[in-house]
Amino acid sequence: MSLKKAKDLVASIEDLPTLPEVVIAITRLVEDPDATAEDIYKIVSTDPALSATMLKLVNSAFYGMSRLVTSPEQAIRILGFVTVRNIALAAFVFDAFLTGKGRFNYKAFWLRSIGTAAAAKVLAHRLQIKETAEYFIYGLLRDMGLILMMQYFADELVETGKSLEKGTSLADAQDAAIGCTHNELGAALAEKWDFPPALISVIRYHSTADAPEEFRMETAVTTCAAAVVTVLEIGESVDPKICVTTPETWETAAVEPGDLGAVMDEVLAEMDNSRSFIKLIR
Amino acid sequence: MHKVKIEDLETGKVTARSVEDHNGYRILAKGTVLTERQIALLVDWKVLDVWVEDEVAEPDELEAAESAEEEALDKARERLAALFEGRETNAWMEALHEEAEKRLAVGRFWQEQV
Repeated sequence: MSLKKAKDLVASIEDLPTLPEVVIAITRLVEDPDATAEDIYKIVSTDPALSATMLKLVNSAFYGMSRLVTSPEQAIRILGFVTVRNIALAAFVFDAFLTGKGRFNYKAFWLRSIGTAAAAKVLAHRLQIKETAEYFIYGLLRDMGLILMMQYFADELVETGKSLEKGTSLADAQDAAIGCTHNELGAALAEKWDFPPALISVIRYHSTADAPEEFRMETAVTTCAAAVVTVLEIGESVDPKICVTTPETWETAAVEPGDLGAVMDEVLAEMDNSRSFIKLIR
Repeated sequence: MHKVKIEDLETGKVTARSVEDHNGYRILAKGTVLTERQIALLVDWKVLDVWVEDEVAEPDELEAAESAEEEALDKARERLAALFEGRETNAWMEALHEEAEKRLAVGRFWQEQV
């Protein structure tokens, strides 16, 4: 397993999508103490396709919104700049990798990602975390490295599948095929694209045992979210077996075994709330 | 064909049109023989009424629909069990399995929407 190897692999990809000007500009504005909502709005409106995806994402990401957010200006007013930037990032990744070269089921991948996002949001809300939108994004992009493999390392991914059938672990199978895990591949790209540290961590570390202390909660929530989505069969995973989630992980996310039924029902209700976002997958 | 309120639906009735929820998501295709489970599904999705054919399905058609359902659920149960095979367990993993068993095939609904 090697982040260095992952970085080399990312650097070797010739037709990687470029970070849109909008995202770069918003990031600059986020760091500018004099920036106004109006400034951000002007930038977002230069990319109508991205802002359309952003709006759908916003409406899925926020908990218990009593009204739909219908315009970018409204979204920017409600969200705050940092969240707008993160939503823009997520929308960009979603749009950039929505479909790809034929071999793999992109729809099943994104359905699972949205499911994980919805589950992460539910778990964050239960913990009374206010930033449910951020957790939605963590859940959505956690397995970004997989889509990279699907797009750019398809043969190796197929090889991984064969090893998995023989009982090799996902991490070992990926390492044998490309020299790193999909977590590391995703993290390498996330770093290249200047994602926020928490998001890079969630992409890189899929177990609380490995995650840095600073982001243990984010890792715990997204890992538990992935487990719930796996058993509900929302979308598909490349791993034919469920990842073992430790008691420590669940306890960090403050979930008792007896809570899981209610959590599952809430996740299914959240899927319902994400319908217009899910519709983008068709 | 005629419209039936959800509370008056009976097994063996056949849908005359596809059944959608208030968001336009298709829950059941046209021509579906209604089983108990499917009626329960419609209740869950808060469908208020359904267009059905005037003619009820033959008993063996209903039976076939119910068998197909059972088979699909058995397969879902097997897939669920396979997820956990050989994996270390703990109270949460067991609860995940148990609670998912009560909610079989629900993910498939979403799969069909995309």
